Amino acid sequence: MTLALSRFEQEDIAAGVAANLRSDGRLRTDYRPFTVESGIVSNTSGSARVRLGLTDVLVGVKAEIGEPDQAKPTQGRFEVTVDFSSTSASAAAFDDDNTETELASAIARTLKGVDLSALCIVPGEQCWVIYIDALILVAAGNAYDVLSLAVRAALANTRIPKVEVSDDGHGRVELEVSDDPHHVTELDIRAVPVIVTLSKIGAFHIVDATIEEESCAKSRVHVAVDSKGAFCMVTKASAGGIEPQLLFDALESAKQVGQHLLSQLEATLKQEERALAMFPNSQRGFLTDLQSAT
Amino acid sequence: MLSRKLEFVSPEGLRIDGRRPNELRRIQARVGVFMQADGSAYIEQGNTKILATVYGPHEVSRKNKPLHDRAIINCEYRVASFATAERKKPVRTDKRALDLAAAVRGAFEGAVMTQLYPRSQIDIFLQVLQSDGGNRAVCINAATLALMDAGIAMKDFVCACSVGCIDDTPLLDINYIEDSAGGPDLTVAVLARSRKTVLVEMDSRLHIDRFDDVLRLAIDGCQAIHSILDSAMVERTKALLAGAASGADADL
Repeated sequence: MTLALSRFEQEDIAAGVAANLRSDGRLRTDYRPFTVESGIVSNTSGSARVRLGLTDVLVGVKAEIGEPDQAKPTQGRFEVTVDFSSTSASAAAFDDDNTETELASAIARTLKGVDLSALCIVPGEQCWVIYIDALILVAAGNAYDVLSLAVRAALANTRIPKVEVSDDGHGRVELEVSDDPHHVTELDIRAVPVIVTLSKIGAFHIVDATIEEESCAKSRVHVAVDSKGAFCMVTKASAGGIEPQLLFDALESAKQVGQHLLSQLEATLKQEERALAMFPNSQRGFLTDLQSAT
Repeated sequence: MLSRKLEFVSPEGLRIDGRRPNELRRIQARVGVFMQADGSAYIEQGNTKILATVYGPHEVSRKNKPLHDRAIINCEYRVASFATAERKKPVRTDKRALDLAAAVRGAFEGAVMTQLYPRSQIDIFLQVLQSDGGNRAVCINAATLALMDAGIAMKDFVCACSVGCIDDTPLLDINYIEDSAGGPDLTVAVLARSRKTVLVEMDSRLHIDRFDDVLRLAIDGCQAIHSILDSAMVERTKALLAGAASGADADL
């Protein structure tokens, strides 16, 4: 996720960060506004598209019946894949599978603390498998954060059909999956965190880095924060080191920014729901005006 | 077994989704979806939803060899894992995807004025977000709009349409269920004004006596699609003009 920047550009960005006034006028801990649209892929169990700056991520969630993890026989499970769409500007630059698997495993790790016992159908034999497939349509900085926001929004949008389990009297079970669109359960997503990525530039850290800022960051920390402010995952990425004190400061701002992001996401989703209730036939998704995005 | 039970055209002459045999699905098109691409377009045709992005003309990438007298067209086609009714495991090299990409490239090699861009490359990236039949045709239509959005010189609109034929009835713009009936599926792409065909592909077999009707219906479908694509392009151009007049960033 890097651009080739000249030394002068790099120095300019670093000076801006040091002065707490970044090139787009933001403070170090300011987040850009993002847009969320959920339920725009009709053949999924849940979907959401999140845009932040030019970065554009679409997540589709599909619930299918499968076998539970043998280590957790009474729980459902998540499967996460991330794909850089070829529509992405720098698809060629991202073509190594590494980044895709890195992103997917980061998301999978943030979801580890989520209790999925509600997704169990027959303990040890059948459960709901929640396939989370993310498509990075445009990668223009801060992919981790946008991806985690989109995953959370898509999970909030997910509806799982109710299943009737009946015994046929010979020790075999029969499953009857309801096909009534109103006979569904929602996922409990309260424990799903968001990722806040902090980039170290000079002696300071910033949140929501643009692609230019990412390109001159010495090191990055991905922190997953849940609504209670607890850390669900902390990963230091890229080559440079980070001082202990700076790491503490970074975690503190991650906590604040993360909780703020979560409440903002919640508010945006509620607002969308209200708007949909009022104008159910309004045009959404990729057909809407591009200018309203920014 | 599905096809035997299902009635594809009811005695009243209506199809499964309520259309007449010679009726298109609802088509909604939008030109200019992404800002950072040279050209982009999005088409919803019924429940088939496809994004097309175009980059170029630019320097030829390392994989390809430049041609001294014209541009290379590079085409990639991908289906999102959640696009189909049953989730598909993501695969890197899908034979059918390569085949479809090659067909789209072939259609545009006959329509893009590649001789104007020697030693360069034009990329067409197609991304299926939701798949419900007719992907090949919708891809071509979306790519036409994206190429025009990128300002690449073309002889004409390339408009594509697919036609199936079930129980001797030609069906325009077949959806996934009609497609899985196993009958013939003809995809035709034409240059809108000259009506020259730049792509003709048919799976399965069809009696020679019926072929004429099927092809004619497909070309009629292409004509209808042309007017939809044309109005999407006009709308986009008007928006650009309005943006330029109000002094906003013309790129928006």
